[in-house]
Amino acid sequence: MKLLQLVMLAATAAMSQAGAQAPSTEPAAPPAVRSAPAHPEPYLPPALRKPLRDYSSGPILLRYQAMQKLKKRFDDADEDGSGTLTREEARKAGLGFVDKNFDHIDTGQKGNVSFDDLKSYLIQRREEARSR
Amino acid sequence: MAFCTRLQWQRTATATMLAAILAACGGGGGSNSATNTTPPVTTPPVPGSFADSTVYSSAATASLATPNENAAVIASHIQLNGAQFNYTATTGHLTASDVKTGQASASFFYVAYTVAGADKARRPVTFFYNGGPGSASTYLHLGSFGPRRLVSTIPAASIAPVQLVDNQETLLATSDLVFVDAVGTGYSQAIAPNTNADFWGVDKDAAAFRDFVRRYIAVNKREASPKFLFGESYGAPRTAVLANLLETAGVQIDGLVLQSAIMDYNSNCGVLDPNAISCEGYIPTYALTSAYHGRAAAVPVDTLRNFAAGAYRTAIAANLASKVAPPPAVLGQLSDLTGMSTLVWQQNFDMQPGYYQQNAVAGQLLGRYDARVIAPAGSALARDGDPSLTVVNASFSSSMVSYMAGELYYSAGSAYAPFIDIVNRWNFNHDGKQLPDTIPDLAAAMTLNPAMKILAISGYHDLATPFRQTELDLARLGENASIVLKNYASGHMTYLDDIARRAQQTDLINFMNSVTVSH
Repeated sequence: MKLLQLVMLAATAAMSQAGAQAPSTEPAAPPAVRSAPAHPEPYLPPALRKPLRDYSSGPILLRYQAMQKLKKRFDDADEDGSGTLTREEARKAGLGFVDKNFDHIDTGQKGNVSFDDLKSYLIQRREEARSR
Repeated sequence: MAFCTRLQWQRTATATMLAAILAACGGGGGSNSATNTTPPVTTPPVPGSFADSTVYSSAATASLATPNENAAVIASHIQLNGAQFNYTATTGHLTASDVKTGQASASFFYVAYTVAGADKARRPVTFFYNGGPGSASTYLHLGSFGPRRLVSTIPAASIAPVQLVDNQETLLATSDLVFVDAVGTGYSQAIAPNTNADFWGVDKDAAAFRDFVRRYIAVNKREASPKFLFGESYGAPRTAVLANLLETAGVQIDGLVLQSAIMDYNSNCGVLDPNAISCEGYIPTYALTSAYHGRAAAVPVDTLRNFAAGAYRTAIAANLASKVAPPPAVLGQLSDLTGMSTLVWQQNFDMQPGYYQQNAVAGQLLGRYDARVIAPAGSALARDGDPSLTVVNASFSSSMVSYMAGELYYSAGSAYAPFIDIVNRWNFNHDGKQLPDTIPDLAAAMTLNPAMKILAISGYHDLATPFRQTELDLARLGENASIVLKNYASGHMTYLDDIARRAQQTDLINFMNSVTVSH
């Protein structure tokens, strides 16, 4: 078994050399494939070892940040800049959450939803989860 | 009996696979010669096996022209609690396509363990991945909760014999398990016109994982299944970003397991410049580890948390901000807790884990991943800077290769890439910050799915991602009954310790069972 493993390793090593001959447009060497990590994680390159100071957000700011993330996706999906999304706009933008829950978000059955509609729906879901 | 059968099959298949691989690489020269008297290999291939002739590459510019979604599908079994437990191992690729454009982006290599049955479509499914960035998922695959597991003797400072055993702590009785490799690692590769390097950044990497998970669910019709993500180390921030992306895309994720997490790269002093920030999150780990090595008296963990967040936090803040000298009382406490002198603490008041590793026990190097493992400075086990990694790593990389050939009956036309050296070119940018803070991603995911639950798992002796820092990072989310933290007397890979793994299995099963499914 051990011998077979060695042969296997030798064979795969030989193949990886063959693979390295594949044409590459980049002059820099490809990342080395290793059997052990070069820099065991977590690791940062020296130039990046500068933390952001005084950023650490608590629950309230986090809730705002979470909404901002969603708002950005919402605005990106709003191709005609109408401030609302149709189901089709949501689907096309990969906003499956809005697409899937469209009828629940569009409580007024207008055929489009505003970000406020979406927020109301999220608050309602939170209340539901709490009462469970 | 079952073991003998497995071994026999393993040998035949390995030989067949070798022949196939060599032939595919043009290494079988002369085999078709008429003068060749050696009879050809006639062993029929194992039913369900798959020899993928595709050559996969980890190169930055590598770009797959013709991806396939074929897989080896093998009926297998282990002995679990004295009874035969049957499962299917599926090994191969699935094509991730961008959620927005529908364009194929990456061909993901995965190994899925599934259990047949009437409730198949409703069984939980858990996606596992390591981190790095640049690491394939071999540690979790062969070390944690899959059906087969490498024997580990952690915390012993010796290399255990390479041995795969039936894993009594597998989660397969509770959930289907899918182990997947990041783009450029294992056999995963970008699909043309994309190149591997396109996916080497926080956001693009997570987006590709999202599209793999979507594809896996669609192909296997798992829409109704509760879904879990299980990421280790860098895999934990990947999980936070991925969970939010999946929820946004309309894929409900029920639970996240954050194994030895680094949720915020701005808060872990061990990856930052010395004296850049407080190392408060490491203080309890130092104290518990010194107690383990008999250098200090054991102190309750809560006492350590309180000291670190109290007297130490105040003093280190003043010291870092305006070089206020450390109060003698705090230095005395640090000395009592770690067995290191007050002078050492005075000179290293913001002590980084690397310093502690080298100086906590005279003449010895402590493990970074598991500080219980020690080796004499300068010895073979200390040479690579982490004896606890050195004692396990070689067996993982070699076993993955033999396991794929001998038990999963899968081969590809190139070598498997357990690790690739890409961290220096990784784009750590996220949310406009140079270093990722993924707590807001968790908050966003939980906003979209308020029923989502989180289990954070850490080891008391991990000098890479200290348990206390994970507690502090997650505390930013506020009081939340959906977030559970579990710490074990173990290291970064908590599951390598036999006792910790058993406890972790129980906690994971309870966690999975606690999830309310509302699909």
